[in-house]
Amino acid sequence: MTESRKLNLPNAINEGQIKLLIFDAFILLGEELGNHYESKITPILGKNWVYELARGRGDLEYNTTDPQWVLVEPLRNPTSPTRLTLPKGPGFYNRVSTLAKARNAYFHNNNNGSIEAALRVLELLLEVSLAIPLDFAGNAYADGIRRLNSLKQGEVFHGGESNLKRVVLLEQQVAELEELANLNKELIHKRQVVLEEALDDVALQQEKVRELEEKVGNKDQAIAQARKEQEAAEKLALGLKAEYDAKVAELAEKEAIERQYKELLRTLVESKTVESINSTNTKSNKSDSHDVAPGDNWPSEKGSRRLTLSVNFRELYDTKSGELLKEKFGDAASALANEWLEIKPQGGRIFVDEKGNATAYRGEDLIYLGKVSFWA
Amino acid sequence: MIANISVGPLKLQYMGESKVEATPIGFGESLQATQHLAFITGPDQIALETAYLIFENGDRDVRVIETGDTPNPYLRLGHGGRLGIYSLGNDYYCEARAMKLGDENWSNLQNSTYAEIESWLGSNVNDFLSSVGASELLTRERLFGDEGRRRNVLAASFPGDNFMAPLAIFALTRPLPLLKGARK
Repeated sequence: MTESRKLNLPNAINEGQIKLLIFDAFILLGEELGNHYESKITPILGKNWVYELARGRGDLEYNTTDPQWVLVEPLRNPTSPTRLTLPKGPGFYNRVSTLAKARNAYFHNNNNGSIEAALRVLELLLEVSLAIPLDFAGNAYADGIRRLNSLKQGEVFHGGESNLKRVVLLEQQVAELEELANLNKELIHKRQVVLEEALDDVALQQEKVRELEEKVGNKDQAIAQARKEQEAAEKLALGLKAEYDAKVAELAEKEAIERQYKELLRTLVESKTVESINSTNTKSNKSDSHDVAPGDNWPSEKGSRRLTLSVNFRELYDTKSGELLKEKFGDAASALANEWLEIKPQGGRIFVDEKGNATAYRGEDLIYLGKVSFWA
Repeated sequence: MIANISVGPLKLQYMGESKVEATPIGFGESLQATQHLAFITGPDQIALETAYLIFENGDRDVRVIETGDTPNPYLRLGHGGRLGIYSLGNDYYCEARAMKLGDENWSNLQNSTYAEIESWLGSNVNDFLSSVGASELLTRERLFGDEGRRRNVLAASFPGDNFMAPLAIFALTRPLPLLKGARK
């Protein structure tokens, strides 16, 4: 574990910043506890222990650094090898159970984001980390508790740059997950077609056997041959189904992560997290587009309003409501979409600030697209 | 041709046509196609960029081409639930199997009944189909005398140059049942 994985501590009492802290605290738990399981179990059961465990449970997708998995695997399975590496007793598992529920609430946005709730979670994380023990995580959670208590007492902190970087990283992670999902779509579709053809073949073979049975009874040699063909078709279909299911499960997992990240991003926007970080930063916030040409890197923060630039429609729409801008602003909106597609032909997410400055990511760079005149 | 229609609480807007290269269902390589584009929006932040593709080899289907920020369970439509369109004499037809949710909120296509579809739409299905230029919802057996295993599956037909009908049937049988919480 490196210093760069330290938690990004909030510099103000802000729902988004606090949720981001807890979100990352659980991700840290997943990584630390997952590594703990690996280091303790692999020497005893061998390097394939996770695969064997997954296969035994009929679940193809096990990820040992998933914060949910590291908690529920020992919790729900008394014979799990992970239990061998953890403290014994109901007190510990009660804490694990509470943490698993808290994780669900935070990752699915069912939490009020209060400082008190966050403190309770960090205290639980600290207790569990100390009991296992997970030293790095324990220290990080203790830092988090200290920061939240200081904020509660009215202390003001500057230097929220790492938090801003974290928000940007989160957006990039969502974009990457979207891209990954798109790549998988075609592959899954092709497998689905092959599988459906194989299943149709099984049905045809079954029909053939049934017709033969009706015609010649059960003893004919043709029946044996037809049954053999039916079994071969079934075997092929079963293999294809397993491959298809594995691919679908992989995509479903990626989509679940993507959904969680998007929920967090929504919270960050709604709770004006970036604005809250900036308000306590000493850094000057340039947001004047006078010296920036479309396509140049944008020297300031991106806006909080989200638009989608559709390559298919060559139009812009509000990402949240799906409302087409041309419906409200007419041809000016369509013209803007076409202009921006010249700069960013792949389309995607656009950010607009309160002055109408539109920006988008090109690779890792935030670039300026132009001004939204009808909003400015 | 109608440009905008309501499919229950969903809004379907026709967005024009363009040329594209894509892969038909069950075909290994990509082909040139004309795509009729539609934007399906509605509650739950549904914003699905959808296309009715007519390939150079004659194959046709309706599919979601971009899900954007649409949340689950609709994201599944980004890689599944395509609606196959098949020729029927001078016309075309498609089935009205519907996306229904199963365990873990994972959805796939299942047979549906007339009553189910009507309950999702909230109005008379045949009137709706008629308004977009499609036939009544009939079993494949009644529509074209199918005697095979799928003879009881519901389907509707429409002229080949009517591109709103298949797009409307897609909205009716894919995002709408998911919005209404249809389960297997």
